[in-house]
Amino acid sequence: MPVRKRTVGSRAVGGPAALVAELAAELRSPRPFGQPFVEIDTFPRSGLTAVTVIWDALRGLTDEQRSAAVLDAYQQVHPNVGADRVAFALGYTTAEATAAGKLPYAVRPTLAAEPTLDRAAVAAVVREYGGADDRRAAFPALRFPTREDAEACRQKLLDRLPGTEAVWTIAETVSPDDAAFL
Amino acid sequence: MPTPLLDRCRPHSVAEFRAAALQRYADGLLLAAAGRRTAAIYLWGYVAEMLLKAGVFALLDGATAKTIPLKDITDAKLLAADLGFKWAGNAHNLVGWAELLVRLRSDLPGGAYPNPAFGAGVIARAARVYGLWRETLRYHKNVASAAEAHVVRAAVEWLVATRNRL
Repeated sequence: MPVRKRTVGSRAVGGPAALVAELAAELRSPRPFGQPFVEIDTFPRSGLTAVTVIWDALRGLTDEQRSAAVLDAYQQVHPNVGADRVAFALGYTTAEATAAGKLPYAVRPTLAAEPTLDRAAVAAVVREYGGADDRRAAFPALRFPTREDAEACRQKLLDRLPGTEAVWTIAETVSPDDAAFL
Repeated sequence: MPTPLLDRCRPHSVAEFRAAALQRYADGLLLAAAGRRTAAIYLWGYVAEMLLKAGVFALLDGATAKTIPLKDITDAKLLAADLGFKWAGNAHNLVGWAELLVRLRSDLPGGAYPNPAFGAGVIARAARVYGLWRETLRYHKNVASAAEAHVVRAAVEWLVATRNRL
């Protein structure tokens, strides 16, 4: 009788190996700038950890595949942490995270200055950020979870495009706080 | 003389939220089938909101029949900072409710979902609905596409199916 070995259950949904490896490498030695944005929260009362990743490379994966990829990468770096010690493993793309209010800070050029910018230099920063340089857009979206991250991006743009101090603005998206509506 | 409709409404409670969510979900299905997709999405967004709120207050209050004062609903978002996230916008923020639910469970010893993908799934579905829904949709004449209605319906359907595990 042949013996068949299978992996079944929720862990059968694995993240793509290359993507998991790249995320694990980022968790081991985070780059100072760009995607993926990783947030690791610990809950002292329960002793659990939660991992949230914002990364455009997750586009096209199902929710389950994203979770598996994030969990796989985290466990590669923390092999002694079982899945039962991770409360949730969540993956957003930047567009999804923006819609969810997770990337409230945007770096943008002023409208007047935009046509004069060195497109290739801007594209290089966008690539380093991890985003696609969308030539249809007037200016590709560079969005960040914190003001500090946005400031780092602004500084990088100033390094690449000297003399553009007056060009770059940091805008914060503010949602109406009308809690009275129920 | 029969009691007027508003006087027949029960106070807010976990049980009332869950029961109302099922009714509004069914109402949305009828609207979608009749081609009234914006109205369907409008109701389905509230389905998600009620199910997520029910999950939160089932954790906070325990008893499903207990009355939830309006102030407790508006104050729930004040818990966000302690749980490590910023609540953006008003009390209809579905991502806020989903994060609050999943993080409350994560913080509670023995309360986390058994599978890390489940909690992520709750937040991801809420985010998908919130990407296409606001309570202000009622003020607009926009017609939702079939694809948009499908996205919202699929996410809400998952929340309805898993409502007793949220």
